[in-house]
Parts: sequence; C-alpha cells; structure tokens
Amino acid sequence: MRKKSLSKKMDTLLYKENKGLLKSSNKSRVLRKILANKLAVVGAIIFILMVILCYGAPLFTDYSPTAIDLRNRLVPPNSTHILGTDKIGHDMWARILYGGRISIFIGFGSAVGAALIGVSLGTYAGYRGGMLDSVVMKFSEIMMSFPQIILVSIIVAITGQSLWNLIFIFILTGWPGMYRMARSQMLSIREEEYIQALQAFGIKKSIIAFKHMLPNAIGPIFVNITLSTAMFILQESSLSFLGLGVPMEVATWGNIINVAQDLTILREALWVWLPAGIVITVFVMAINFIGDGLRDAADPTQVG
Amino acid sequence: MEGDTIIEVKDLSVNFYTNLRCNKALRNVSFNLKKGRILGFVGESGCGKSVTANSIMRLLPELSRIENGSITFNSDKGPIRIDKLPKNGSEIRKLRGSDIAMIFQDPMTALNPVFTVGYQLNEMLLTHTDMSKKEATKKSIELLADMGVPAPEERFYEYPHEYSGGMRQRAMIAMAMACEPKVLLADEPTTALDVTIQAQIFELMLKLRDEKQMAMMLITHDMGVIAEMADDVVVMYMGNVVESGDAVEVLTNPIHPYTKALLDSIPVLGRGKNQKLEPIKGSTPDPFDRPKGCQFAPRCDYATQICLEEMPKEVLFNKDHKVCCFRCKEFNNGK
Amino acid sequence: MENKGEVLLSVKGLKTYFPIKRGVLKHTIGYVKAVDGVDFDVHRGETLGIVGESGCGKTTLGKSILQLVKPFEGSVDYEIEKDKMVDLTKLDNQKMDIARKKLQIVFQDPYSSLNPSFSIFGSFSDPLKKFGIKKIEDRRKIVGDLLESVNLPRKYMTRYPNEFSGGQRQRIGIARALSVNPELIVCDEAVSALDVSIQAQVLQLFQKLQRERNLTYLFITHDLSVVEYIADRIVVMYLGKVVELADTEELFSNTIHPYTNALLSAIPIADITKRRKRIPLQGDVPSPVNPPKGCPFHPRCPSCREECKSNVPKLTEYVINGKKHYVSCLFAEEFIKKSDSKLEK
Repeated sequence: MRKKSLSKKMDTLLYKENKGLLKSSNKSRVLRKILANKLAVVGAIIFILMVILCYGAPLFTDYSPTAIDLRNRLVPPNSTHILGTDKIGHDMWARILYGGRISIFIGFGSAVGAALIGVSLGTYAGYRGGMLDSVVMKFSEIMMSFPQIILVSIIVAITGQSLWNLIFIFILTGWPGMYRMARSQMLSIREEEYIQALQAFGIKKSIIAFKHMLPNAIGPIFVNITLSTAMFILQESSLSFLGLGVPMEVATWGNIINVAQDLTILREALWVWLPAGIVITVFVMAINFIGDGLRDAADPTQVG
Repeated sequence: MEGDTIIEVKDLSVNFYTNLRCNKALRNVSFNLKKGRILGFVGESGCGKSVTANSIMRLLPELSRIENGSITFNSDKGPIRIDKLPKNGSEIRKLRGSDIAMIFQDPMTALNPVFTVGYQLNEMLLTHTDMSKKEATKKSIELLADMGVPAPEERFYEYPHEYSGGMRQRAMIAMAMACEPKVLLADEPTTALDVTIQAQIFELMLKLRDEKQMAMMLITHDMGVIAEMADDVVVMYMGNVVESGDAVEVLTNPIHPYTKALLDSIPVLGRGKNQKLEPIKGSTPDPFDRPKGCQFAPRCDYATQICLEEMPKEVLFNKDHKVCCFRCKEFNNGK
Repeated sequence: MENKGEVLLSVKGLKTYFPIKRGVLKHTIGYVKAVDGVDFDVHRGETLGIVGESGCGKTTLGKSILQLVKPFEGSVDYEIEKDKMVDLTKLDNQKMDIARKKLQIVFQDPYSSLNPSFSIFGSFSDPLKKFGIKKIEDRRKIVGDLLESVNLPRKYMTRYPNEFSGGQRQRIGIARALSVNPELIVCDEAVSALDVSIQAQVLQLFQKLQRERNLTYLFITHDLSVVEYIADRIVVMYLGKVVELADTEELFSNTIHPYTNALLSAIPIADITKRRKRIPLQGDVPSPVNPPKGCPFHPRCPSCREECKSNVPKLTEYVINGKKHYVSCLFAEEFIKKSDSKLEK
C-alpha cells in the first residue's frame, strides 16, 4: 500500500517536472521542512496560544491569583469561576494563567541563562583545547553528577525559597549540558579547512571561535534551548510539588499541583489540580514537538 | 565462454525524487557485461556511473525509481529480468552475493566494525550455501589467502580496524568472491588507496578475471585506470552514455567531442611539462536544471542548433564502437 | 632546468613529531614521526613538487613550514627582506604576522575550505582587516579584483559558498590565499578533489598567477601525472624522509631510488598504447608510529641488502648529467653507474 502511494507521488512529481512547473525554490530548505512537519506546527500554535493567554492574563480573567475568598472555598467549576476555586478561595483559572507567566519565565530564563554560560565556555574552551579545556570539562562533570534535589534542598534551607534561587540552581545544574554540546560542535568544526585558513592568516583565537565557528554550531544549540525550557518547567513543577520550589503564595503551575498531596483534594476536588497538570503536559509536549521539528529540519543527513 | 553477454542493460532510465524535485539521473543507458572482460565506466561526478551499478544490484535509495528499460541477467536457469524483481525480495537477495557481487570505494565503511572479518566472511557463505560453520571457516581462510592477505589464519579473527586500507579492500574482495559470483561490480575500488596498493589490487582483479572468467564492471573517474585495466569502455556524461566500445578503439580513436575533450584535459605521465592541456570550458549543469537536447551541447565546441534541442541517437561504427552524437559520422570521416 | 632565482626558503633538519599520550595524566609513550629530518631549498619563482603516499608526511611538512603545526626540531629559514633570512620556527606570534603575509596555503577540500555561514566577501574581510585595509569600500574593491584574477565575476562576492561548484570554490580559496599578496603558496593537494576536466582549469590558473605575480609554489600531491606537468623540481617523500630530489625531467628519466621507481611503475598511465606489465610493490604502506630500523624503505625494497636493515642512508648530492640530483640510498652510486648517466662528484 505504501509502495503504491509513493509511486503515485513520484508520478505527480514527474508530470510536474516535465511541465516545467517545479523550480528550485529559494525558500530555505529548513523552513520548508519545519512547515511540513505537522506536529511541529501544531506545537508552535499551542505554544503561541498559551503564551498569549498567560502574558495577556488580565484580558482573560477578572480575578487576581492571590485574592482570597473564604466564602467560596472549594467550589466546583461554575459560571463565575470557570475552573472552580481551591481551599482558600483562589480562582483556579486565574491562578493557572498568572502561574503560567512564572513557570514559562523560569523555564525559558533558566534555559537561556544556562546556554549563555555553557555556550560561551564551550566555544572558547573547545576551540583552545589544552589545559583550560580539561579543567572546565572536569568541573562540568562534577557539576553534572551532583544530584539536583540535594542542591536545591541545601540552598533552600540556607536562603529560603525564592524564584531567583530556583533559577540560579537551574542554571548551575544546566550549564554543563550546554557546555558539552557546544564543545563537541567546536571540536568538529575546528578541523574544517576554513578555520585552518584563518589560522594561516594569524587571526585571533577568540575571533575565530566566536565570529567564525559559533554561527555554524548554533543550530543544535537552539534546539537544546527549547528542549531545556521544557525540562526546566517540569523540574520546577516537581520541586514546587515537593515544596522546595517557589514559595506557596506565588502561583506557578507546580505550586498549584502541590495541593494534590492532600488525599481529599486529590480524590474529590479534581478541578483544583488536574487542569494545571494537563496544562503542564500539553505545554511541555508542544515545546518538544517544536524542538524535534527544528532538529529534524536542520539535520542535513535526513532525506526529504 | 569468453565474450558471452552475462548482463544486458537496455535503455535504462532512472529518476530520483528528492527535495520535491525530479532528477532524471539516468537516461536510456545501454551496455553489455561480458564474461572474462572488464567493462570500464568512466565519467566525472554526477554522470550516473554509481547509479548504474546500484540499479543492477537494486540498491537504489527509497526515493528513486527505474522508469523504463530492462536489466537482464543471463543465469544458468535462463534470463532473469532484474528490473522486474521486487526491490528487496528473496529472488534479488539470492542473486546478490552468489551471482552478482559488488565492492565499494571505502572499505572501512563497507565492513562492519563491530564484527570480525572472519564472521562477516562466514555470514556470506552461510547465507548462500549449505556449508557448516566449520567448513565455512576453512573456506574463508582459503579465500583470504587467495586474495593475498598475509597470515590468514590469524587475520580471520581480527576486526576491520586492525587491517590496513589495502588489506580491507582485499577482505572485501574476498567477501565478494566467496560464493564464486559470475559478475563483479567494482565502484571506484581503489580511489581511496595509495598508488602502490592500487597496483596490487588491480593485479588481483586481473588474476580473477583470467582464472575465473568473471565479468567485471569497473567504475572510475581516472582515465589511467581505464587505460590500464579496461577491455571495453563506456563513457558517461550527465546520465547518458556518450560513447562505448572496445577500450583500445575508443581511447585511440575517440569520436564523441566529450571523450576527446576529456582525453585532452588530463596530464599523461611521461609527456612532460610541455604537453598541452585543454580544459573543458564551462561546468557540469545543475542536475535539476538540465539542458534540453544533448547534455554536453552547452559546452561543446561543435554544437549546432539540433544539438541544443534534441537528444542524439546511438550510431554504430565498426564492431561495437557506439557514439551518441548528431555529428559523429562527420567526425569519423574526418579521420 | 637549472635553479631559478635565489633561495627563498631553506628547510634544514625539520622534524615534526606528534606525541602519543595515554592514561589519565596523559604521559607521552611515543611519537608519530610525521616529518623525520627533511632538508631542501626552494628558489624564488619555481614550483617544487612534493610527492608521496599516505603517511609520508607531505601535508604535515607543508603545515610545519607555515608554522600551522609547530615543528619539533630543525629550522625553516625564509628570506623576509633582501638578503635577510629569518628562522620562522623562532618567531613569536606577532613577528610571525610579517611572514604570514608572504606565505599562504590553499587546501584540498573545496567543500570545507569556505565558511558556509559567511558570504564570500565576509570570508575575505577578517584577513584584509587584520592586514590594514580598514575601509569597507577598499575591501570591496580588493575582493572584486581578486575574484577577477581567478576568472570569476565581481558580483559573486555577495553569494554564499553553497551556490558554487567544487572548481569555483577552489578558485575562491586561491583568491583568498592571494589576498595578502604572498610570495610563496603551499598548495596542499589543491586539485585532488576536483573533477579531472576541472583540474586542468585550476592547474592553468596556477600557472597564469605564477607568471603574473612571480609566485613560488610548494605543490603537494600524490598524483605524479599532475606533478610532472606543473613542477620544476620534485621531492619524493617516504615515511617522513626525503628519498629523492631532482629536476622533473631528470627524476622521470633517470630515476635512481628504488621507491621512486616502484611509484612510477605503479601509476596507471592514461595512454592505452603505453599499457605495460607492472611489478607491484609488495607489502603495505607503513605507519609513522613504528618506522622500520635502518632504511625506512627496506622491508619493501626489491633491492634490499643486509646493510639496509641497520644503516640509515643520508640524503646525498650527486651531479648527474650536469644537474643536481639528491638521493637517500646506501647503494645510490651503484644504481647510477648501472644506468648510463654521467656521474660527476
């Protein structure tokens, strides 16, 4: 069956080609492949929709995420509260929308922060090689083997819970991955002849690394940033669920799920925690689809 | 019998469908592979020589198709139409290795690095014959010795990365020869090897041709290799056969302007500093944007109006010297 | 053809070794002796061919001369100004910049010699900026002139590498090497990756540029047919050492070293009327990690004698038929006397 449809597609292409209808498109092959990847497009749409909803929250809800309304505790979804309320009367819809702002900020901010540090170090150390490279590599290995939970617990115990502490920890545990990826790219690009030509002209090492090599390595790094964002959002959720993340008053998706630790809420007030759980899942999946699409499109070995 | 045609390719056309475009990689390619003779395929990159060999073995990539033409293998059981066989069906898999074998350019990537060479040789024998493992091992070691691999009993148990480039190519030839195929397709087998090793491999191939009366197809871009090894030659350009025939005849009496231009543009060992090199003007066209008519016409010094509009047909000169050019009779009479 | 012009480059005792490191602390357990004691002179305006098979060290030699790879030992003297020779191996990074203007390199692989993220103009900019061309209009003019000198239109400078064919990219690589007005260019297998009909175009371009600019070439290749056409003199290398050095014609007609002989007889000649029975050299091309004792060629040499297994031959100068001919073989004189050449000492 598959053979037949492939054969038919070929026939159509042949017919079009003979008629001169096909021209080498100037549109980038990468763009074309991304647009052809339906999952990636769906992911992008979902992502954009959710970002608009969260950052444009005042347009979509009248409630404040921190407003307590003790007369309306644990109200199931109805016309005034679309997703009901929790134990102290917070409007769940508002909490999810405003919470999204924080979660997305943590996820994306940590990913970009980790990338800035990891990629800069990876580019320079990877190109220079030698002692510098060995030392940073060992250091990154130490960082990577450190269990994140323990680190979080220690820092929370010392400085207390806060948004910025969390971002700090995520960057601290996230940069080694970026560093190693950037470094491996550098190691392979370093052997290209155009780099050797620059060395023959005596161009400075830092210029070669950042101006000439980095643009060729940037593709996989962008993919990594999107996937890291998803990962950090999940990590924030887990940590907040355990009570180690952002303080309870600030709404984040993870904090909202935290209440599900209480068995009664878990069983009888699904509207409090389930929507947030679904939102996290859908958002992370969307980002993963985008990341996969980017990776497949940028990969020159994939035939299309 | 020497000279018998064992593979006949007629009007073979193959299209590639990648990047949502259609590339007419081969058009109306015809030639015969004969027993006990080496058929040299020469042409520059993009001319379709590897595609031709892959078509015979049905190893073309997914997004491609044999549009028309025929590939006939004259086996002991009668003629088999290879182009009609299902792509990865059992019939073609039976033919591959036992009747028609192929060796490739880069022996490092053609041999599986995680298995010993002996294991891979045995695999070949065990798939196509009824031998037991012990018998296969014995035969494999004999094969390695025949192909000139020193200390074959130990080499049998080694991995490809422990072999040198020349030895790996010999191991690959041993694998190809394991089931005594009647045809050997060699796709640039020595391009990646040093010149002194290349000479050894060619000596081996000539020995195989003479002792086993094998039909060989030798693909190369190096005219020197053709001059040294080929009995018959096919010259290809942009997917078309432009000239073919007996090697001595074609190379001493080239008729097609491309063949002549190619021979004039390469430095020949022994002719010294003052030989005249004539580069071919222009460059090969984009395969997705091919010229109408004769593919070489835009670069040909002798092109006329009809050359730019229509594809020339094959003209037969003495014996089997074939040329695809509108003005070939003119060029031939000028001699 | 006698020596052209004065000596521009003089290589003496050049050795480039790469350490093999093992273990966590990375101690050196041995060396890859890529270049193992090489001496020769290059004269202004000549094309010196450097030939050999894989592992012979010719590419490393080219890079060592340019200091892209640091030599282990030996000297590379270059005539930086009239009558002033400077040892490049002793220069620090800053002083090396003066030499970098005079010595440049063209690489083998046209598909990796240009940065895919930069336009042609972008690729040329940094070297030009470094060597003093600050204004962008000046740079544009120079890049345009360079493209024209390699027979490409000026407007190509705004295009990206993926829009060019292999032959065009190689010409752009040559233009880039010319951008600083060098005197000597190392061509490292510069035509090996091109289609045969394009090779002729690029070879003739090299010759034209040499005539116009009085360039000197170190032409590294494994293809003896090409080097016979383009080189004035040829150096034959084996396992990091020079085995023979002579004028092109002399080398081909009066070959002395057994390796050169074997090489010449192994090459397929693109003339079907010259088909000959060849005696291929046995054994494999050796690896520079563990070179044989004595003469490096002795395990494969058809004329090997007892002394060859323990004594290392030196590159010795002979004058044959009035021309200088260097051979590194213990029995060179015997081989010379056997051929009918006139040997003067």
